[in-house]
Amino acid sequence: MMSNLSLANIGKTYPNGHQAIHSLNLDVEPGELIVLVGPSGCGKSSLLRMIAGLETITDGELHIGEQQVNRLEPAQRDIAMVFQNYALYPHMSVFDNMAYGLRNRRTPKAQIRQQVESTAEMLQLEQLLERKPRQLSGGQRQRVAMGRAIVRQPKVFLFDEPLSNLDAKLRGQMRIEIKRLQRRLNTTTVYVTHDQTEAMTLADRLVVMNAGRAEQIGSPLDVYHRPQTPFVAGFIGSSSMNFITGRLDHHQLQLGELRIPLKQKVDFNGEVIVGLRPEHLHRGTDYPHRIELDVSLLEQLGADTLVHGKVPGLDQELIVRLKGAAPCEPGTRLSLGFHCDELHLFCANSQQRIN
Amino acid sequence: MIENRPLLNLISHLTLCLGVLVVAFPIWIAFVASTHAPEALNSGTVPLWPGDRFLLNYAMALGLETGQKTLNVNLISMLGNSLVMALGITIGKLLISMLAAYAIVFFRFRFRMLSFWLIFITLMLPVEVRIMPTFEVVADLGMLNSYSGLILPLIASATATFLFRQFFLTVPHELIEAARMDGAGPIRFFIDILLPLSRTNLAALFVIMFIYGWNQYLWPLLITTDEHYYTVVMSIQRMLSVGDAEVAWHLVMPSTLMAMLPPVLVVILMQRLFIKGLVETEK
Repeated sequence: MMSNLSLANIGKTYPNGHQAIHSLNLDVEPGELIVLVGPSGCGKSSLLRMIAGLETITDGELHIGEQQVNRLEPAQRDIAMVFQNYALYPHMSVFDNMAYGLRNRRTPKAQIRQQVESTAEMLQLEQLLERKPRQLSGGQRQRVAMGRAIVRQPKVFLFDEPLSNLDAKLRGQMRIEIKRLQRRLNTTTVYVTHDQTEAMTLADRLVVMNAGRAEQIGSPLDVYHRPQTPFVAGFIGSSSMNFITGRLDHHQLQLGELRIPLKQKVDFNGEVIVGLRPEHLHRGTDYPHRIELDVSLLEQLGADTLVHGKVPGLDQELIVRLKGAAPCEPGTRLSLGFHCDELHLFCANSQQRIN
Repeated sequence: MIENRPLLNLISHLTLCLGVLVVAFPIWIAFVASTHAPEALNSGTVPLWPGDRFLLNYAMALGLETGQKTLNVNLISMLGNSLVMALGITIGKLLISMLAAYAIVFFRFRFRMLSFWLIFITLMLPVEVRIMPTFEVVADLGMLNSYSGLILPLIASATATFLFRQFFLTVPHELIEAARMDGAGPIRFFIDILLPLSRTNLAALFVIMFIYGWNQYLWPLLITTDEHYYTVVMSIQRMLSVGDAEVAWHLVMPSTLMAMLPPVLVVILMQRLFIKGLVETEK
């Protein structure tokens, strides 16, 4: 069931003039898992619903396989969607929930039974086929919702924040299960989430969205290591990246009192935003650049410790992620080192990456 | 909050018992009266305990051959008329109001809110207020003395439309979208999903509407002049207008009690669903 999905200059303008999606281009390879990620209100759900056919597309062209589907009804697009609150039919048994779409397509009875049963087996739902949704736990409902999508063998799966109603532990399990299923079925998938961990772990490619635009499209590691804008840099990675404003003059970076000669050639002079991830500040001596941190607060996570503090001469608070238990107390001074390759430089005006 | 105050309990129970007594006593009297000979009832004092003519009185009221003087009306055919009218009104109301609410909630069309408010405003106009124009229309359509004349003018219901609207508004939007994904058009969605989900609401409204239809008095009184179409509620009044003759209380009372029976049965049989439909929404 491999099929590609392509979005060409897709846009959405509401009748009141509000532009929800700005001319977005994306080619999804057959079997690829694309994650749309961004804060709430960034347009990721709107985009998914446009692909699904639940929202009209006002600009551009949407292709599924060879077919242009802009004006097709959801049921005619050969897609299946898993909703955030599952949207199971409350009065139907699990079997009927899964069979409903097939029945409406006039699939022969024997084939429906066979397809539903094999899907149920794949999702370990065989014992639950006669139950009603209200007799199921959250995780089971989630699996039924996925079963309803899988059983139709569509060209494209769409997931709209499917795990956000589950507790943290179950969410982790289901995330792995979704990834495995998608690999096994090899079906093209678009997955929407606001959770960057979910996005990083699931995606073949990420689309980071902000205010109706795709800020960056790339593999999770690519987005993590080379974010194109401060927004992407701050959104991907937990805890959030530290940003410091500074100046760049002839390959010399000026941060408050600190002067850092850059190894790479960067043809830019002027105001810059410097990003440095909390996990890229280290204790120890084998780092070429050093800063002093006045510790104000510690967050003990067990495996790691988040240290909040200020660097003399800089305005912004910094967060540092250190391995293991607390190596210091609030009120003390900590000496930390970093590599200048791990600095992310953005132009303060255009908000674009410059190194 | 659970409180245990004996005095408060006692007073509440006394109040409740008093209420039950006030409501139940007239019905008890009616029942007692339905079991006595006419002479006992016309003597001026009302007996408080049942007599020995239960079977005879009821058989006579139903017009069964007993060799005694019976009523001037045919109770069985009137019970039938009442049933046809009540069921007609109930089923018609449910169908129309459900479809109206479906249109108003799930479809975007011009004058949608206007039509909702038009329906809503008719809540303020009961049959009694618009009775002259309605009578005129029904008469012009030649529907006097017919079942359709009895049923149709009462069939539109703002109350039921409003209740269905409120219920439909609580149906999650994703459910509709999921159905669209599954290839269910508007009619399929209505039949396969909305109708089963409305089951308890339908039951609750059925009870209310059936009683409303059964208890109609003024409307049948106005438009029926043919005995074939008399309903039981209006004819009880007719049993009392016997001119100079004595009112046959021993037959009127059994008729009254039997007229009460169908609504009571409907309430008792559908009680569980009725309460569910009013207090809980299944999702």
